Order: sequence, then C-alpha cells, then structure tokens
Amino acid sequence: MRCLHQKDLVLPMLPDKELEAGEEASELASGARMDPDRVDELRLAVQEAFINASEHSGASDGRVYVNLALLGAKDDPELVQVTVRDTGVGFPEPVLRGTMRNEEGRPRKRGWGLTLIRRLVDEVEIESGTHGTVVVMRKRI
Amino acid sequence: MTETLSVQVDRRTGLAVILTQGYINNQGGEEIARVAYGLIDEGYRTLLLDLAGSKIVNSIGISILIELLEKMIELDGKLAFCNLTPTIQKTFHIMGLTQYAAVYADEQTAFSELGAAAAQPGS
Repeated sequence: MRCLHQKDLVLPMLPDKELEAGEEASELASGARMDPDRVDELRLAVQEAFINASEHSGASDGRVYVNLALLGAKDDPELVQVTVRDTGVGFPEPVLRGTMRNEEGRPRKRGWGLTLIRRLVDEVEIESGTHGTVVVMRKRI
Repeated sequence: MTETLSVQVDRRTGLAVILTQGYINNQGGEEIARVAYGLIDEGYRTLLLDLAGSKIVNSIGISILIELLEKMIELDGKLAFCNLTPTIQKTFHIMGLTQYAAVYADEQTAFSELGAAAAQPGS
C-alpha cells in the first residue's frame, strides 16, 4: 500500500482547533468517496484525539501535530490514516485504559475520548511515553 | 474556526423542546444544561432535545448531557432526544445515554411517543 496523498498540520492547543483537524480529515475522506456517515465517524475520532492531546499531554510547545494520509494502490484509495501527535509527557494510565472514575469512584462521565476513537475507526495504534503521545487512526474507504 | 452553540426553547403542554444550533462541546453542553435547569425550575419534567441543528459533538459536551440525564432521572423526569445524525446516535450508544434516554427520529414522533400535546400552552 502506498501513500497517494498526504498533508501535515501544526495546530495550537486552543479551544475549537479540534474542529479544524476534524474538518481536514473529513475533506480528505470525502474526496476519496468514503461513505458520509463513516466520514463523520472519522471526523469525531480525530477531534477526540486532538482534544486528548490538548487536555492531557502537558506539552510545553502548546502544539498538536496532525498528519493526514490517503493510502492505497494507484488510483485506488483504500484507507485514510490520521496521525495525531504531541510532545507532552504521555497520557496518564486511566486515560489510556479508558477507566477514569469520578471522585466518588463512580463510573466516569469524562474520559471517553479513547473509547470513542477505538469504536469509531477501524484500527488504532497508541504510543504514549515521556516524550509524547502518538495516536494513529485508520478508516477504510 | 469557532462555532458557538445557540439554543431556542419551545414550551408546549407537558414538555419543553430545546432546539440546539451548533457545536456541542463543553461550552455548548453547559449552555444546554443552563437552559434545561431553568426549564426544570419552571416545573417541566419532560425535556426533548432536538439536535437537528447540531451535526458535531464531542465527548465532553455529551458528558454534560449525561449529568443532565442523571438529574432528570433523580427528579422522576424524562430526557429524550430527536433528529440525531447516525454518528451522534452511535456516540450516545457507546457512552450509554441510550440506555436511559429515548431517541426519536423527529419531533412529531417524539411528541406522540411522549404523550404530549403538540400545541403551545394556551393555544
């Protein structure tokens, strides 16, 4: 599988910037004729990855790095891959496991980001450590 | 790119409809909750959230709707939704809202299922 098209974005960790990342992913997927409902799912997954990076990474550069790629054979795009990266200190374990609980120990209301990402795209890879976090999401066309 | 949520309220006999327009993020969720708590204070115990004008949400906004749902359950009230996009409906399902809140295709279906008159109070 080869890269047919790609684009890099560097966005500040500011409110609503996740919409910009989601919109770019949506445009790429729509252009490759992904089903519109699946495009919406990808958009939300990208937004959630961006929000996680903004809220949990503690990155001192205040930026989120997004790579958007269309992969497949020549003239036959097969999937959209979106990589969301930060240079922070890594996500806390409860965030990674999706098991955040509130102060009373009841099931969480917050902390749904990674759970949603895993359910909304076809493949997810997450690497999180002291040098930052990389979330790679793939959705078939 | 910013998108502020705006809210309109349609008070009917037996229920109030909250119509949203825009992004349901943390500020959007808080605005919905503010309006909903005002309606609860007015005595409404059945609220219908019509999301026809909201195509984009995030998990923080929805988590605020979960808090509102818990409040309605505590008050023996009902919170229902209509006009959800397939992705928003799937997200509600993943986050567990659909276990406790009814989801209807549109307002008319919601009105008939919730047993509320579609007429405005006094009309």
